[in-house]
Amino acid sequence: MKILDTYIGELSKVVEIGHDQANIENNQFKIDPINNRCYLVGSDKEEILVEDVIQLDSGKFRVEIGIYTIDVHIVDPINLAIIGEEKQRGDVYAPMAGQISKILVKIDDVVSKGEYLVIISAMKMENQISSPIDGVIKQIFVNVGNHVESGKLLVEIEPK
Amino acid sequence: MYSSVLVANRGEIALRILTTLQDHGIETVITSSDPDMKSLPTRRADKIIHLPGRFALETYLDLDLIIDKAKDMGIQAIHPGYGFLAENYIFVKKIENAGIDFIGPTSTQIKIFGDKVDARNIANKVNTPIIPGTQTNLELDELREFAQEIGFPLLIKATGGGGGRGIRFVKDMKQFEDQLEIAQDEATIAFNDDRIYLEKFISNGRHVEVQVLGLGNGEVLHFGERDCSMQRKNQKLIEESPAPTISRAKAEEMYNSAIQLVAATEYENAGTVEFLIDNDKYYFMEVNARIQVEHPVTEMVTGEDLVWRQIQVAAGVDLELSQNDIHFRGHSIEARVYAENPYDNFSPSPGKINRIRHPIGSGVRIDSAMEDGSEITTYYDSMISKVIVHSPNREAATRKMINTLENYRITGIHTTVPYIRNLLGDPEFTNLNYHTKYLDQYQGNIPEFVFDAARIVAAFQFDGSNNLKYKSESAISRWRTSTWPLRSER
Repeated sequence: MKILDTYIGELSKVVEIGHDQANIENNQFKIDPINNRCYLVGSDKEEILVEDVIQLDSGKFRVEIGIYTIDVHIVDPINLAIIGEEKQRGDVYAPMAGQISKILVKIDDVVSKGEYLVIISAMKMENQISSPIDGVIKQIFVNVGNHVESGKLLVEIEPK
Repeated sequence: MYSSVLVANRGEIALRILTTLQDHGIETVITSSDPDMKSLPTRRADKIIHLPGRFALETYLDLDLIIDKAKDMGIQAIHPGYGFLAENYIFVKKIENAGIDFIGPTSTQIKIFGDKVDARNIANKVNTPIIPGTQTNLELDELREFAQEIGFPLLIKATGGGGGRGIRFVKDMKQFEDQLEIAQDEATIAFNDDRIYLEKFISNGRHVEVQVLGLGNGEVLHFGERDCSMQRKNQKLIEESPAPTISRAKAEEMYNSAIQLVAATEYENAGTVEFLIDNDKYYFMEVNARIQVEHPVTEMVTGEDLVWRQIQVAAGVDLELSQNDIHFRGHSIEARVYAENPYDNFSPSPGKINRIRHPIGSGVRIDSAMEDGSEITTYYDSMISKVIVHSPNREAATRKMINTLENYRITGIHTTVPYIRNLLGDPEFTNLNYHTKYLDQYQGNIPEFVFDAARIVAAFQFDGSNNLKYKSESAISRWRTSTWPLRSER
């Protein structure tokens, strides 16, 4: 059995996987590749058809089950340390692709957690990107009018 | 009748208009930006006007380029769809001057109804009640004074806005002052017009709108009403016809108000008169001088092709239709499917659609331009499709919509399908216990075992298991998560 930490949003759960079966908390699932289709069979014999699995990034998977689309992040103990460091440093990434329509801070500004930093215009909506921590703006990597992809580093904040 | 018509739009509405034109043997021309060159509507059209570039501003909003090319090609009429240039009176004025027909209202009518404050003044003239609000272009002091006088909550609305965009809800003076500048910025970006006005917020109101068709000679037909109260952040998510909470007598009263209001301008072509219902009173909100996203529910209950009626009016053809010929049958519901993650604050979910399987069935209509491999970009809006069902009554239509959505498969990106499906199973929808702000509080839930299953699938994938490779065969799931009670009677 192999043990992995799975995240959906901030919520983590430990999954134990074997060759064709897995445990999560007290529920047991079995993999059943009937006619080349992948089903998970729950302990109450409920069959769950997996429609699609897409790898988004290293350790990030998009799982399509029925009408639901769920993003799961598997954290390797090695990656965990790096992520922790980034979180503390307060790097702010673009959560979506779009155009920078406004930058509300400048270098050396003191910001508090939740304060708006940048506005990204995407799909006709104005999306406010806020500071994850209390700190001081160290670097700004974008300009108004720039088109950014999702995951682009926008602002670096030094924690207070 | 025309022999060649340009559809100056993209996506599902372009395809929907093309279909009607082709049904009647009219040559179709379509505008296409770079990312849309391989799209379904572009492939379906007979001719293409290529608009080089990606951003809406340099493509679908470049009115001079579109008109020049239309003139070169000898196009007789232009259908704008909704959004983009549909309610841009400068565009329409230029088309009129170029000797091309515009399939929509006149530039004067679009200008009047595009200015929300002018429209309110017309409503006042024909004695239709309006929501208390300010004139436009007031100074900050005057706006503050009004806010204090009428009390919070309030709506900050873009004078040039519409379609639910350019509206900010504010609870108190601090929020009002914080949001005012953002509202003006948003109005400038979206409508190229920074003017705003204030309106009293009516809580627990329902949104009901009347579909009208003006013949240009003062005569106006109506095609019944639609209820669009299921909104999230002022964007409609579910629409239905007929409106389930108003009496037929009240509906007739609203038809008359709507007709008088647009007839005052000798309105020509299709339009929608929007009302807000507060208990047994109704207030005029705005006129949308275009074909609307939700027009299919009206087509389902009336059996009319509204786009064809638009084309007939523009071409000056006799409609051979009087109000007595328009009948209403059954109940229709539309659900809008967007590329958004409903479980992450509806954040945009652009990307490639791996697979899409539109549901089919009797009484089911899908308006969509999406196929396997289609890309949802951030350049345009995030609509994937509209799902429309028609049944004898509301309960049956709700069941049909739930079942239809459950059979919708879209993989690769997040969509609003599960959210809407769960919402329709909610007793609040069945019991009509909701209003236009209901969705801002609603949390649709994903069954816990779906999360668990997803974790396991991801864990296996991470571990490099071959058992979980996706196989491109079709499959029918025996798995259901229906929260809708099954009928007990047999």
